[in-house]
Amino acid sequence: MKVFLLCALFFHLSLQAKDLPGDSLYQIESKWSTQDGREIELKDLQGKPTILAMVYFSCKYVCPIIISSIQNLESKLTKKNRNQTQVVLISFDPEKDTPEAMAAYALKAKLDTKRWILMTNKKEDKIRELAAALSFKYEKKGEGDYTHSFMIFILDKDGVIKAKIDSASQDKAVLVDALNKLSL
Amino acid sequence: MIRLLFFIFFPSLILASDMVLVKGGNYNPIFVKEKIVRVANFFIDETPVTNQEFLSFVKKNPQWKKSNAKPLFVDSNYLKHWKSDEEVGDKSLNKSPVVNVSWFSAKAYCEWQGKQLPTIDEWEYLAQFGPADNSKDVKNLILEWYSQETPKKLPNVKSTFKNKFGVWDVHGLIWEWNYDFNTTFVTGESRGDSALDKSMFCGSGSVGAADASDYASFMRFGFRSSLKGNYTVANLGFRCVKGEK
Repeated sequence: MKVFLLCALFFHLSLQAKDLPGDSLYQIESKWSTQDGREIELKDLQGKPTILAMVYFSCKYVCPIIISSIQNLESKLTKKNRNQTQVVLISFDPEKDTPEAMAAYALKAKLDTKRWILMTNKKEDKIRELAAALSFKYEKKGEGDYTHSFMIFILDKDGVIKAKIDSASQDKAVLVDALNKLSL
Repeated sequence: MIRLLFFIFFPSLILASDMVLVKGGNYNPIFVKEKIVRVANFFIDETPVTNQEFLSFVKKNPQWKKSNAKPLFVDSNYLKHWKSDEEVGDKSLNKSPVVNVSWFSAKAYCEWQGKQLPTIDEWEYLAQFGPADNSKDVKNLILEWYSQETPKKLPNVKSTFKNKFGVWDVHGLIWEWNYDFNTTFVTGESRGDSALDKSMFCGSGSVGAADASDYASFMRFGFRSSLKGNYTVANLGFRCVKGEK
C-alpha cells in the first residue's frame, strides 16, 4: 500500500512538472538558495498564487519601497487570500545576499517567513535568465550598488504572469484584483 | 590522440566556428561621459553563427526545435525562415547568419559549445574597429548599412569586412545579441535614469553623451533596450565568445 502511495505521489509530482504552461517562469531550470538554507528549483514554487519581485537586500532606497509596497498590497487582501499567497523576493546580489544575510533581513523587516521566501542564485547567468523572462533590467554600478527596474509581479499557481506594475507610482489595484481572481 | 579525446568529450566543439583572439583595451561607453571601460582579452567566433551551425545545435537539442521551444524562451517567429523543425529549406541560406533567434536560444547555443554570448562591453569595444585595411571609416560604414533595408535573403557570412583582429561582419550584415542586453538604460527605471534615457536618445540630451556624433552607438543601445529575452527579429543573430583563460 505504501509503495502504491509513493508511486502515486511520484506520478503526481512528475505530472505537475510536465504540465507547466509554456510561458511559465518555472520553465527556467535553476537551483536557488533560500534564507533558511534550502536549495529549491523554481518549479518547487508551483501550487500557490505568488507575489514576486527582484531586489537586493543591502539596497537602501528602492528595494525597501518595493517590499513595503508588497506589504501594503497584502494588507488589502482578505486573511484567507493572504494566507494562501506566497511572496518570493529574488536577490540579484548573490555575493552579499547569502542565506544568513537574507535570514537576518527577513528578521529585521519582520517578514513572515512561512509565506515569504527570499532567495538568490550563485550563478549570475541564471539570475539574468529570470530577469530576461521578466523584462527586468539590472546593472551593477560600482561597489555593491545596482541600478534596476521597479517591478512587482503576480503569478498564478503555475508561474504564469497575470499582472505586473513597473513603476512605484503605478496603481497597485491591478495586483490586488489579480490576486483576488486567483483565489476564487 | 589528445585531439581525438578532446572531440570525444566535447563533441559539440567539432562544429564550433573558428575563434579569433581580440586583444583587450579601453573603450568609452557612449552613454557615460568620462568613463573608460577596460575590456580584457577574449576569443570570439570569427563569424556570426550560421543557419547550418544552428541546425546542428537544434538536432542535438530537440527542446530548441521550432515546435518544441517554449513561449517563455522564444516568440512565435522563432526560426520562421526555416522550412521545418530540422530543415533550413533554402540551401542558399546555409552559410548565412541565423536570425529569428531569441536571447534564450542564442545563450543555450553558446553554452552548448562551452562559450557564452559577448557582453555589451566586449561587443562595443569590438564595434569600434572598421576594416583592417582602413578602406572605410567605421562610422560611415555603419550609417550606410543602417540606412539600407534588410535584404530578404541575408548574404553569407564573410561577405562584409574583416577587422584587425580577424573578426568578420561586425557591422554590415546583422545585429547581434549580447549577454547583458537587459541592463538598465530605459525610462521608468528605479533610479530615475530617465535622464540617462534622454542622454541616449534625444537630440538635446545627447550633449551629455560621450560622443554626440556617434549615432550608430546610440542606435545599438536603443535597439538593445527595446528587446525582450524571447523576442526574435529578422536581422538579429549572434556569435559566441570565450575568456582567454
